[in-house]
Amino acid sequence: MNSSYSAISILRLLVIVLIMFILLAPFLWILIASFRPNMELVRNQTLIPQNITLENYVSLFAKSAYWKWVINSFIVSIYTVILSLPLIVAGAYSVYRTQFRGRNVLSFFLLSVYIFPTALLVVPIFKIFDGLSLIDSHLGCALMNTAFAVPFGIWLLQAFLRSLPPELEEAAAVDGISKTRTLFQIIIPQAAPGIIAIAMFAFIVSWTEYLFAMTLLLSNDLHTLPIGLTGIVFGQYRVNWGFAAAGAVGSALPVFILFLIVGRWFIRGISAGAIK
Amino acid sequence: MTQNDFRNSEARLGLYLILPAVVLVILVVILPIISGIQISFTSQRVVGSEFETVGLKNYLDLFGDKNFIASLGRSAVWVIANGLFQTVISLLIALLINQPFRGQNFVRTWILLPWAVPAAVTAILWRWMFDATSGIINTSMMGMGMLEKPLLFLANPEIAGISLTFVNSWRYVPFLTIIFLASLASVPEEEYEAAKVDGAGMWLQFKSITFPNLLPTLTVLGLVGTLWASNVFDIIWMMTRGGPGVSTTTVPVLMYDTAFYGYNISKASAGAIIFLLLLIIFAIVFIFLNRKQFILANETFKDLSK
Repeated sequence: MNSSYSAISILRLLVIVLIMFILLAPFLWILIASFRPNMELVRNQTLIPQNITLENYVSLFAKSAYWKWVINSFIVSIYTVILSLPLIVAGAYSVYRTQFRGRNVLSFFLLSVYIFPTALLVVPIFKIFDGLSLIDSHLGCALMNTAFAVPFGIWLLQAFLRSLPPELEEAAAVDGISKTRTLFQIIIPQAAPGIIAIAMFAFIVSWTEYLFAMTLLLSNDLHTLPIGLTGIVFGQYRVNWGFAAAGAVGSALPVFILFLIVGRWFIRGISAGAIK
Repeated sequence: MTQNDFRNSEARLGLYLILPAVVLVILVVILPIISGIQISFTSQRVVGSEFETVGLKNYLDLFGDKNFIASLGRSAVWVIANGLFQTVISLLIALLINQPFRGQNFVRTWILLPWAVPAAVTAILWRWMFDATSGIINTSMMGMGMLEKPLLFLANPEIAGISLTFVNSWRYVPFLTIIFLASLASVPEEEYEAAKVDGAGMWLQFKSITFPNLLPTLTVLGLVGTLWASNVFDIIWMMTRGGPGVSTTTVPVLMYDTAFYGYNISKASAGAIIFLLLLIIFAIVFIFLNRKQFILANETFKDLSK
């Protein structure tokens, strides 16, 4: 390796470190802040904490409805994943492996949902859901999340399907095995990493969602984590940053754990898709 | 089974498989749009209240409404700033981390964290970092003597939009980067090897191999990314509520405020329809101008689905 080459790679590494710093340092900073007393955060802030306290977490875990919000968020997210997965798998298989008139139009139609600004949809959605008793319902919220997770999910998964070696499928076709059986016995097992990735995608879409939850879930008992937390944090004239920090950590933690366990699969599932 | 029977059963299967997704989209997206158009021709103030049909009145009112026209302009600036900036930065980062280096797996996984946490966390995180008296950015810059007075990142109308653009990009660039990365992985390795044999430098390789191969993805993301940017509501709402004053009030923010705080759902619906029409015009022009890329993406698609 000659010296000019390594100079470039050191520079490249530095830029990468800087980017990752900008993206991740705020998380570290808020994690530290969550263990500091609120008084210390308000003025004369030092880089290194002077006092360590659990008071912020006590207010979050014991004095707020945190656990209720977490459970509500999980309910909506699980509903969203359960509703999305069959729709995405079926849709992706249809787009990728079958031919019928109108297929291109339909797949394009699905992607067109992203043209409709969600903040502008909520008024008529509210009116329609009101008639269907889907207001103040976790299912109603999950239905909206599903509709916005499915089209992009189909696009991601069909790209993944295309990256699979075609031999097994071809063999199945030669043997006269039906397309339906091929889907269940050959495609789905082979596509497991891609399916895990889209399940995670649907989960995250729902976990991070704010607008539909804010508009459609009226009772406090049904609030999801983002709604409950911001209601308390930004609802006061003076923000209690210690509590806010603990709340942010408490909301990011489930995603963090998810990433630790299946994060690599998510990237594999998307990257193997070699999207073109 | 004859060839024709086989084709028919395949066509049926394909249609059945995609139908549930299509029905869901019709139910929760297309029907609401139709309902929204109906509401926009009435004088309805809140859901469930009495109203009469007023024709185009809401639309005519909006065209004379300085607030609405100004919010259209702000949305345009917002979309250009966010869409363009994010696409370019994501592409650059993807190119940067595409070649192997120590820690590549870590970077590829954890780069996504800002995208994966709730927008509420993003809002808390950056309101705290930007805070005038206790935020780390102001305190450290003042500590180093770079600033005399704290910068009011979110309370100064002149920089609030820039701060929000930064935060919104911080949130979406990671996801776009990963999509670009996936696309880069699809460029055939042989093409680079052939170019190296011919003695092509890095810039020439990028220009003649990487870029053409990326163009279909770039085009799709250019369109979807622009639409996503026009759609952004949560970050703006939680960080500034469209303020200070109206300096960050884009169309979605103004219409949400009109509907749920100004108690005028018919006017909000009319504004929504106008905005939607503009987006559709944009999408059609964009697709027409880039039709070659869309056809290209479609052809690879056809080859593979035979």
